[in-house]
Amino acid sequence: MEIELDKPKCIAAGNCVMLSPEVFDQDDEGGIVFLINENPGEALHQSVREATAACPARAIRLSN
Amino acid sequence: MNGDQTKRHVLIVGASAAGVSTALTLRDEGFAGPITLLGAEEHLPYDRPPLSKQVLMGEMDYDNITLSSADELAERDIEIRLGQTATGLDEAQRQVLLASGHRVAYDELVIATGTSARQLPAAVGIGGVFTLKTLEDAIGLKQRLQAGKRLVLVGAGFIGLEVAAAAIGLGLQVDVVEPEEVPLGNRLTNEVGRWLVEEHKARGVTFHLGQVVSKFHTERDEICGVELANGIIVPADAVLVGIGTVPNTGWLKGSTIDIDNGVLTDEFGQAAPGIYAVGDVAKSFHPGLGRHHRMEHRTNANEQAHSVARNIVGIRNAYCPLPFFWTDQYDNKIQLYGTIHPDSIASFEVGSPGYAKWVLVFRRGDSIDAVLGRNAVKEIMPFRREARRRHLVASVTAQP
Repeated sequence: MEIELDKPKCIAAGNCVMLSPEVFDQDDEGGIVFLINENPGEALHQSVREATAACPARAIRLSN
Repeated sequence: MNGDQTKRHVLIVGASAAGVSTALTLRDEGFAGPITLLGAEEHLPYDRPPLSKQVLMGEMDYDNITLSSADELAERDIEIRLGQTATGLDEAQRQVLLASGHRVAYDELVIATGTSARQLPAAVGIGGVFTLKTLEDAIGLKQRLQAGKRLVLVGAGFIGLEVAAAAIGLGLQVDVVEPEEVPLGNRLTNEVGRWLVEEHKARGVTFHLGQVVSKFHTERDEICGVELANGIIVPADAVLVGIGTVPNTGWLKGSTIDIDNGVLTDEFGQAAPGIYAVGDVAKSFHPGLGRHHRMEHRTNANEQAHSVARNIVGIRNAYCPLPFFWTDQYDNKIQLYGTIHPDSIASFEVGSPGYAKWVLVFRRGDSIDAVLGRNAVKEIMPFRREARRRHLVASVTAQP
């Protein structure tokens, strides 16, 4: 699973961090998303998919 | 869903956030039948929240706010037809009538027609008076937002205050007219509403609270001033009317679909057999609240679309959301998570107004109804998690 972040689109909603805290985090300044796990294992895929779907800015894209 | 899935046609009327999200989720869930998205606008789907912020500020344009590209839609085998306005519904024939005179047949219909900006009849047709809903609205308004010019905002809702912040950033003089004494008091509490007014005043915005417009003054059909009920005339080079929205349900008139300030649906998003509604236009039964509830939130457009798409493919799920809402004004990012209950007791559990960051928590007993924060995206998280945990327990209990 490859996760691509479109950071300029991020509006710091934090939905991804809420749903998939093992993979996503937000910076302290503006709350912009960053990855803490670039290659999440199978067990995390469902939560990553939920996080992607819950992003109100569509700033997360998945491939594979 | 009945019958052979591969032969069933899902028609989605409305190609904005909720419509697009429904289409994409159907594919994500393995739906293999034909999907058609009908869009009233000429543009490929785009996101609206940036229209009142980054687009006005010149930080983003259409290319930055697209929701899905022609390539992606083609790749996911989603047919999109733009510039198609639905004008009627023929339930007997299972067809949607278009302004062009054509009809489009469906097996499953998803109503995602959204809302329109509420207009002030006295202001319609005056040059320089805007509402803000579409890309064209934003581009038209942006052209008028030039340093030194005077902008009057009618209505101090989220749109009005976000545009006030953008216009101040662009060097305009800004006046806000609002009938309530405290803007957004009913949404964010009076205390936060008053704090927000001070944030705007500190940057030079002039407020006319408890005031309504009595007359628009024009010069050669162009706006030149706004007269208030107290007799004050505020000069204006442009006016934005931000007084709420109206659900786009006119095309359903004469059908059996129940309309009451939105399309009434059950908790599964269903308005009638094989007919669903999603997004701003949908007024769905909310099992947690025990009543129908229409949510005009960007996040709701996504989440409700997911729920309905999954119901269409047979993954039955009741929609029982915990709303999330945000607004950006100057360097303030304000986030509201949950629903403030009339009996909720609010207290600042991180900082307080005047602090760089604060979190206002709304509790009833030991459960959190809602949490509101300023520039506290990380600090708010533990409260959100707790609210969500409680909510999930409560919504499971509430499921039929």
